[in-house]
Amino acid sequence: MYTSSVIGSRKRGAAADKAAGAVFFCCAAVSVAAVAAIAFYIILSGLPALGEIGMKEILMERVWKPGAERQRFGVLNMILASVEGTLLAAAIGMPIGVLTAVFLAEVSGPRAAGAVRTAVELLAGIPSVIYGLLGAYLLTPLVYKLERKLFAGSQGHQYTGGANLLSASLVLAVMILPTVINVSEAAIRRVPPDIRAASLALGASRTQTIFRAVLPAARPGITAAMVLGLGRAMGEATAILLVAGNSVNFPLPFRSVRFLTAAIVSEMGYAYGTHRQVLFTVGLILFLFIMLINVFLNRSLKKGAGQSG
Amino acid sequence: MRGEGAAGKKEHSGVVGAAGTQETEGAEKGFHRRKVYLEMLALLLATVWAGYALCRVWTEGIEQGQGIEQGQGIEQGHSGKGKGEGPAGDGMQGRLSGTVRMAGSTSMEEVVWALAEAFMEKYPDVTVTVEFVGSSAGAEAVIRGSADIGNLSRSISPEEEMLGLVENKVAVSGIAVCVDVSNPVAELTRGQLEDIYKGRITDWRELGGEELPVVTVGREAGSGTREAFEDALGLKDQCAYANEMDSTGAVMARVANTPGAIGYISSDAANGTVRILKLTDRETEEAGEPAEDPGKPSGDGREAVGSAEASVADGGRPAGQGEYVLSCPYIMVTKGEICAQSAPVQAWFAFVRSREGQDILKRILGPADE
Repeated sequence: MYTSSVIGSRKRGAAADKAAGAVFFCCAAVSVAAVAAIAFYIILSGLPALGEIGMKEILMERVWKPGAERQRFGVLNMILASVEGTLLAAAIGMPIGVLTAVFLAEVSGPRAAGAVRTAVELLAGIPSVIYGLLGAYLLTPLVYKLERKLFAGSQGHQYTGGANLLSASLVLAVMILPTVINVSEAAIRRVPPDIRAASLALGASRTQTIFRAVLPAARPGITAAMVLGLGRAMGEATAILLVAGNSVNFPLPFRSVRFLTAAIVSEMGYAYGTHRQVLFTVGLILFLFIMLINVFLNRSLKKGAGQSG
Repeated sequence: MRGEGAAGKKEHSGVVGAAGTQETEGAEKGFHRRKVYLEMLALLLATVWAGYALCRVWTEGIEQGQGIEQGQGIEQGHSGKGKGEGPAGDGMQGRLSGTVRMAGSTSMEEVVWALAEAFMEKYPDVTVTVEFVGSSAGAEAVIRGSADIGNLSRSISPEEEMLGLVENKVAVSGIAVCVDVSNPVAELTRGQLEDIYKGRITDWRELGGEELPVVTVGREAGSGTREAFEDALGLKDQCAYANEMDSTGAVMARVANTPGAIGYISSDAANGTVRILKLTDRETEEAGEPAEDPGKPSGDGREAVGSAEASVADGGRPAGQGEYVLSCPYIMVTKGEICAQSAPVQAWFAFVRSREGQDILKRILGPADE
């Protein structure tokens, strides 16, 4: 079966094999166990509140007053804020990210590409608190100016001082850029050169080739980039806490909003009893969203594999 | 080291194996894979179960631990009386060692640090750790047993009292209402302040300032300052905040950074980055602002002023002519009476109440406190 190897006798090799296999297996099991434990714990601790207060109130009511005499636990506004903020961030960040990827993969020379790539890598490494701080000090004053211009004559608008859904989305848009750029660049690079050559040979210009031939061919990968970006935006808390204003409101761009993640971060410290349980339910909702995003991701990746393979 | 070697060997023998018979390899692989899946599944179940069991045991342990702690606390209280004077008294100052863990109000940060530093200087072997997480989180930490002392900038709630917390009042501080430095408005009446936070006044023009939207900044729901503020104004759960910040410092930063913003902080935390507004008691009719419907503020309004004054009188601060102060108590809660606490914690309270501690409090909270 085994011929003896140069390294050692057959027996010792087999024993080492087994040991190494066990080590690899244990390492692999850690992440699986972590996911399983998180899922298990979140579901276990998120469900009681659903039963106690009722799914209808939690998911459909808008009033969130956990500290009042008569406690109200409507999470809908926060769910909407999270979803809307994430989508808005993708809407702003995706075009920028994808076009940057096009620049890197198709247009730029190696030196320019190197500079951009370094910047993108740096962007990916900046901690989210820094994004939040910069957002709070640089972005919110600008957004506040815009807000005052837009709502100059209007009655009944509560001014947010620039800490609102729009600011949060802008910060998130910048934060998802590295993910979007890296994944879509890889997707664009995977497009077979024949497609470009054929397009060019048919007389299409370079721009036409990019938009009509290369990007459609890279679509599954770009979708994956978007989904990954959405996941990143959805799960962000620290930066959001500093720029979203943090009052629970129906999410409009110039309204102060609280995201699901921000609610957990800012309230878990002092919450007790039902309030605490509801926060776990909020965690469960967030978890389900991330799972959903992952399902989409897998589907789009599979589609990509199916197309190119 | 060893793992690396093993890994290397595996790779090599794997290569050799691949060069050998292909068929057995394939069959073995299939079997192996099935086995791996099975093992994986078993391990997964085991981990999850173990984790669950651990959690169970742990939380039960904490509950029991709390029970025991409480029981012991009472016993200690009895036996402690004898030696209770020990740490508080003179003799063993230098030798006292241990930790005092505190958690709570962000607005008490300055006071607590000043006290802690002086305390640790006096008792070099005692470590004081402080977390600034907000009043309610501080109370929660003491109930859970993860802190010895909870710093609260509000009175304790009946539920917290039921859970065994004891209120130890340390000082009375004011709540300052602040705006950004470029705001020309210098004073507000009670009614105006109420209307601002209820969202009825939305422009500084209505308050005699320039045309600038009002941005109401407040604290998160677990904040003691917020509770004290809303209680004093009779606005519990009625405030329409544009921004809710997680700490006193964040409120100040936000207000300093936003033209037209208004916020509230504990007055000893105030620094030059924001301007403190003077609060007046009388209803003024300036800048064409008609007095708010007269019935309203005199009703629940007067009452709250009374309570503010009462606690002010409590703290010894005279309410000046027409001026009034929003105050919040600084409280250090313990689980059970002070005499039932550990020696360092008892020493802490003795220190805070000593002349030295009081001097520090006076220095930070201002002479008005005495």
